[in-house]
Amino acid sequence: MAIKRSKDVEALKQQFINNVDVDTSLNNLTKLSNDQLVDQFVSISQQAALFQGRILSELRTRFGNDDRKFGEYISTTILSDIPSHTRTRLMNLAVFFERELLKQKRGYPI
Amino acid sequence: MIILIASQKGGAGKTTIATNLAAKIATNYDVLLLDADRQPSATEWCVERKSNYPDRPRVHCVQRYDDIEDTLDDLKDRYAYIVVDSPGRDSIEMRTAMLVADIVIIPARPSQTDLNTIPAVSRIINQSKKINPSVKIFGLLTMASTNSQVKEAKEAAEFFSDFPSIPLLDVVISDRKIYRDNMSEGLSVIETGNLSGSATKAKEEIESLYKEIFGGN
Repeated sequence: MAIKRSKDVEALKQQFINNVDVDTSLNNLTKLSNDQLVDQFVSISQQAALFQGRILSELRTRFGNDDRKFGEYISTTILSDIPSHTRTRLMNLAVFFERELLKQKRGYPI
Repeated sequence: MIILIASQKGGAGKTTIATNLAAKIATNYDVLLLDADRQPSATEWCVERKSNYPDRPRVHCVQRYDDIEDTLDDLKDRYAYIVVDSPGRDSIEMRTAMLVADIVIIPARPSQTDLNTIPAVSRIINQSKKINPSVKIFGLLTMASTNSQVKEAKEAAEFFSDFPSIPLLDVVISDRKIYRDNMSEGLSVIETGNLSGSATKAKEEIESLYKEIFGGN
């Protein structure tokens, strides 16, 4: 058996990774199976949840420590349709992601 | 040690397995749960756990996407165990993790749609073994019916026998509400205070899974 040299292994790795069978572009929906369409729907919903959390989190910081004023403001907007526990969950998730991103940027050990 | 939970299809219970296994490992070892799925259910579990049960054994969590080989290579020296929850499809995350994983667990429901993905997964595994020959692979039947009359799990086990590259674990994870309840709480079924028969069986399933993978260590 021929011994693989490091550059051969690297090429093999790259080939293995490049063979990934993904096509999640919205232009190719017709090529996806029913299950893949459902998976893609869920994936996009989850990504949207992260963005929503970040937006809510930004909004919340604008009211400082005043929960009441924040609540009053929310009640005047369409965001009041979202249950408060859902809003809190979205914000917690966003804060968690932000913190991890910050750690990464600062090069802190995980 | 890097343990990758991978499948080519969503809904096979990857995150349930990843979180329950991580919590079990955390009772004795330093463990990191790496969420490589952009549907961040494992991260949500971590957030809930940290907030609801700060005194439970710590499961460190981090999210990483795309090529995670270098990240895993770096982190494996900092944690005794890393459990990777990968996306429910063939992905760069799954393939790059396969290159450095010590153990790959492939959960699949005993349903035709899940089993249809096994030939493709088997091909990917055979390719990855050319680069990472020491990786151990295990198939795991999940979300099996608790109704003893339903023979799907047995039929699925027979299906797996055609794919020797994916030896099937003896333990079968059943479809139990307790798994879903604990997921949303940030708990593992081994930590639940629920004393029902179903909870006890779920606990036994995770304990058996752990023993079967790690040989009772």
